[in-house]
Amino acid sequence: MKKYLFGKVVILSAVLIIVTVISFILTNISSVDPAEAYVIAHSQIPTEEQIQEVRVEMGLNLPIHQQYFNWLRKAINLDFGTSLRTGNEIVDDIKITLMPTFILVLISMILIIIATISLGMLCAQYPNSIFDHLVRVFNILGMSVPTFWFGYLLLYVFAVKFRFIPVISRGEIESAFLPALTLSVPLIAFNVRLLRSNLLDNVNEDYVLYARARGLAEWRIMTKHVLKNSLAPMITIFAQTFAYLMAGTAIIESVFSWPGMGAYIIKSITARDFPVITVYVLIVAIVFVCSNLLADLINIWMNPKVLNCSGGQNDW
Amino acid sequence: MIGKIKSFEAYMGGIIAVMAVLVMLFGPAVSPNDPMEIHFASEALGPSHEFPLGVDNLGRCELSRILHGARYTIGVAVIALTITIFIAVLYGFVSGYFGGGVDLLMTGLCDIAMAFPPLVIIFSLIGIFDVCLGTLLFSVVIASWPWNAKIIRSQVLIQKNRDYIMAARICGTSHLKIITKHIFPNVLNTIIVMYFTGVSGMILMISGFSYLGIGFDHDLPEWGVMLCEAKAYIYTRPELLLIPGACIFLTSIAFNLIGESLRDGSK
Amino acid sequence: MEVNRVDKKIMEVKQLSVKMKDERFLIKNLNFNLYKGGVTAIIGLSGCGKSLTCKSILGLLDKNCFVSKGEIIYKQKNLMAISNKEMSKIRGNDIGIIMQNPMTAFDPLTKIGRQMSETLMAHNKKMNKKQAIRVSIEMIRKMKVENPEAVVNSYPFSLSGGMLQRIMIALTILLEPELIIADEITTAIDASSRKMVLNELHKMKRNGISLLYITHSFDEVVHIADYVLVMKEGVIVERGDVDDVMTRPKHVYTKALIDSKLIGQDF
Repeated sequence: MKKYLFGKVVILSAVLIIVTVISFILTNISSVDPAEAYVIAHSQIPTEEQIQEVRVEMGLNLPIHQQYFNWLRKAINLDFGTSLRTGNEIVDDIKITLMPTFILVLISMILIIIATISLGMLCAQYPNSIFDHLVRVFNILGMSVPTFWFGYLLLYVFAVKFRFIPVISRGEIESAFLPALTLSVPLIAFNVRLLRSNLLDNVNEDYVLYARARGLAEWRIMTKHVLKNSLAPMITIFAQTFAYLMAGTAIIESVFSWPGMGAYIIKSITARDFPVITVYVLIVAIVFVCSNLLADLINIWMNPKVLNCSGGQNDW
Repeated sequence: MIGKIKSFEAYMGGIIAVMAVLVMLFGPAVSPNDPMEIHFASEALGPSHEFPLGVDNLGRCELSRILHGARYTIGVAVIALTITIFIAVLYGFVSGYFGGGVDLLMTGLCDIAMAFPPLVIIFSLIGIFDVCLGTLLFSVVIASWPWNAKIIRSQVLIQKNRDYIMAARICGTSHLKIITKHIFPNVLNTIIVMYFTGVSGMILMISGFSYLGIGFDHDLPEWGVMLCEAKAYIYTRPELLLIPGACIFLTSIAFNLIGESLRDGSK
Repeated sequence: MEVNRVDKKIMEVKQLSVKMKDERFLIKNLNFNLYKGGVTAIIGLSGCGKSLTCKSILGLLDKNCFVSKGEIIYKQKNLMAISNKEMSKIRGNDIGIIMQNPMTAFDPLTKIGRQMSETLMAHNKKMNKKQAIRVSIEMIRKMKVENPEAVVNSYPFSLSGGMLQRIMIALTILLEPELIIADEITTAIDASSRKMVLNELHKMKRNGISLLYITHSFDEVVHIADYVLVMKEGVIVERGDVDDVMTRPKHVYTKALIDSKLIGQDF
């Protein structure tokens, strides 16, 4: 078990490093000179000397791998530098904006998990019924809907027409519901279909037959056995959903004026704030890597068989 | 009875998709007005004889813009998807068929590519190149190919492990022949389903980015761009938001319906 | 011809017919009785309907077959007519079953001990988890399984088929049913486990438990059963006391089966 985990951590760390390297390179070979951009933004009369000074200050005159290691060294100490746009320490900016995004994602995940399990179970209980069919329709709609448009639709209906919810939010929990709903719908659609398929597959398995033959109550079989077996393969997917959400709230946050990391990064990108972009990529990669690791751990906990499995494959 | 409903869905999807393609091909020919032409004095903001869907915030005919916009939204999506699937197929086949170290390396690359959320890829590339359509296409392809490649790779693996492939190898069939004559036709199904459901995803992704202002000129009647323009008018002219979005929605539904019924049919 | 049947009749199967959804008959007009302490064997080739008979008794038929006619009278009730809830109280408690393939009979993601204790607690409201586990461990030990405490704490995949079979038998015995159905239980396990399993069945018989023993081995029939039913394509072609049928088979089919030893199995 330890060997497995160690191997995973090594691979994931490698992924992290490569991700940061690539992102660092990308943001630094752009056509815009950040020193120039900074000077132009911050002084009345930009001069060559000023630009050169700033360049040295920013360490842009050093060779790129040197720049990278400097950045890495500082990053490990959580010194991500200063935002070109806001002038704040990036660490501070992130602290402020990460929380709202995290809350939004958390609420969305809760919605997704509850809805997926309820709808999935109901569909498996009454396969091919009207309800099952409605859910199927919901699936297709959910997967096809443009989220940003759907967000505006909800905003219009609830905030403008019915005035339930303030149009501009300051990050209060109540106003998290609409954006969370918007984010969740496509993911619920996707996951319900998967869960339903797993449930229906499992219901035909031998162990369900024997469980019934032993006289166990149907509801217990469905929840304690079938559901468990059906959710197990979806743990990884839920983890990836979490990572996907953390990285993908930008558009929805801008629709609902939610003060989270996504909105922040859009503004940074429009302003070519490269230090921020690099850090953002790092954060997203870390979330991605940690979610996958967490999913692996949960998988092992739920199903120790994973450790014994060796894939067989024709290789030539 | 359920069987009938399923094919009903497929029909619906097919009809709408065909309509969308027709609009894409012939829309501009039947549009009543020039989509770029600004009509200043149009008091009647709502639907009228001259402007069947009314005019937008700048006074351009909404219907004409929709009809012209189909080309951009759907057309670009299809192009991007074709490139993506082409790369994914190549990648998936090489990685899945040859296995071993090559597979490990390629899957690793895939994992790294997947670690970048599409938004980040696009934005990083914008920094390097400019905010233009080429960049958008390039980034969308880069963002999407790993997912498709992985799916294809797993299909290839399933086929490769079938006994008939081993039999073919024992008979001395060359790799190329096995891939093209045996494995590919069996994976073709997956590829076709991927194509149809992919169109939907691609349309959503591209219109999502053009909504953010990336990729297309702001004048172009691309549906995502129209949404971007309309969001400021959510209070006064909500229909400007509704119509382009509904078009994106419908087109996406159509292709998904087809893709899903193909997938169900192949099971 | 049931000779000397002074024992009590515990189950009456009358005219049982099972059909597939497309009207094909799987079992036609089965009639037989089960007696207290008696062992009735059903023998036949694969697909003749033996397992289906068991499933019908327990009310566990697949979705695509149904009982088209017939009654199964048990404890003065027609099992075909009672609700699923009532039936689930009977299953395990009054009528137990040992399944053919122990490797797939257990939930792969739950520990064995838990699966046993939940069964015991389902039928005995007064038992708590600790008692249930204790009782399970003791019974497993009686099955000559080493280190039952560890076994109870393991997942099914880490145990062998023979061991799982013994656990299944242990569980069945713990529930103290009146009738035990054994559905080809020796097919999927190794020879020494087979011997052990048959010994256990003998013990059960001595304790007055009735057995319905499904098999395709005449050797086993001779070893354990009093009464045998020969099935072919869903119909009983011959029935009688084991000695009679083995030494003086009347039906052509029975003769062929015994002679050709098509379905003989040493143990």
